[in-house]
Amino acid sequence: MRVIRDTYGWIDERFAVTPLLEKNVTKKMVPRTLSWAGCFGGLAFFTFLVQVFTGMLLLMYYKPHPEAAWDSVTFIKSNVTMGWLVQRIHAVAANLMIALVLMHMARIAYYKIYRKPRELHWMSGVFLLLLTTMMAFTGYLLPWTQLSYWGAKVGTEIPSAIPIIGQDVVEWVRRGKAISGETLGFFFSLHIWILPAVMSAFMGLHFVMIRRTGISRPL
Amino acid sequence: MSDHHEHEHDVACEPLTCGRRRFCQAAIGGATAITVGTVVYPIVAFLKLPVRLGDAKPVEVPLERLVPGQAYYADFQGQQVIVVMAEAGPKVFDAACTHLGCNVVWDTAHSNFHCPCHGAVFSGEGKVVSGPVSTPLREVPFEVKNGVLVIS
Repeated sequence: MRVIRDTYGWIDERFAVTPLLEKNVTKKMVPRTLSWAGCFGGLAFFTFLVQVFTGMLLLMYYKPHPEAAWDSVTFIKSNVTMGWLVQRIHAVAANLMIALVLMHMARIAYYKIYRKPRELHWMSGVFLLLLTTMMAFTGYLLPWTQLSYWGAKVGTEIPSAIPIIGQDVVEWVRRGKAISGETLGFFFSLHIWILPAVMSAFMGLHFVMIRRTGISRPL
Repeated sequence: MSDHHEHEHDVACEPLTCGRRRFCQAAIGGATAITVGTVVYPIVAFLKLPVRLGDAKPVEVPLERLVPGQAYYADFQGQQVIVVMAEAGPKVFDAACTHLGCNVVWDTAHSNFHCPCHGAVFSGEGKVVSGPVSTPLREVPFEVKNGVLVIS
């Protein structure tokens, strides 16, 4: 304990961490009337972090190839110690994240928090919802099961409703006419790098905005 | 405010409150340790080397497939092994050259092993003939069951 306190003191003396922590965490003032419903956004972010870390672990064994994907996921679930737990946490956190994001949005909409000066919070939030659903959709294909395959097939069919370019969009998303190894590779790259990177950037903006305008003060 | 904060640990207290404080600190510390443990344990367990079912698979070579003077290459637990039929019977060698670990190749014309990396040469019995090596090739134990050579 003394070692920890001394190490902290050494760092604190040089970088003045304590005033920073007090200002942003321990002595940060929030509106007295703020209810526990104000936690949904933060909890959604927490589930995101859980998925980032469990995702890193799953990536150690996952193989994004149509002949190896299902086997590698089965390997994680049955051969890797605690693999079943890590895989389950990743999938359950994904479901929870969607639910929490929707609850967060419902609260913002109900209290009309999206009004000036917080319009951009809402807009970036809507974009984040879209990214979250895309994360869920691309992740669903990766285990390469029957459910994944047909889920991806039905999901990628949706853009065909767009007039004129619809069919081209479907083929672009599928990387061909049908769901194939190309689709798997594309969804994999979206799921582990492209979408999380874009999402992190938008989350950063989303959080900076809240710090600038402050939390909405209920009546 | 900050002055009060810094000296918090030095404040003298009644024995009763001191006991309570220690109890609370231990309770919070214990709960934190359990929480951190339940997160850290699965992660450490996950990082452990998993048992691959393929690892335990033995290599089986029917003896009639072995031709005297020629070599049979097989993969045993991810490492190449070479079976050669000598006059006294079959022998199995680890293909890793004892110099720097390249896979040696059986030279049928000279009945010896040749390493493509630095030119080491081993005799048909795995003994050093020439090259930058001093250790003979590692022999791999095997058994013969019903006319089948088994490496396990």
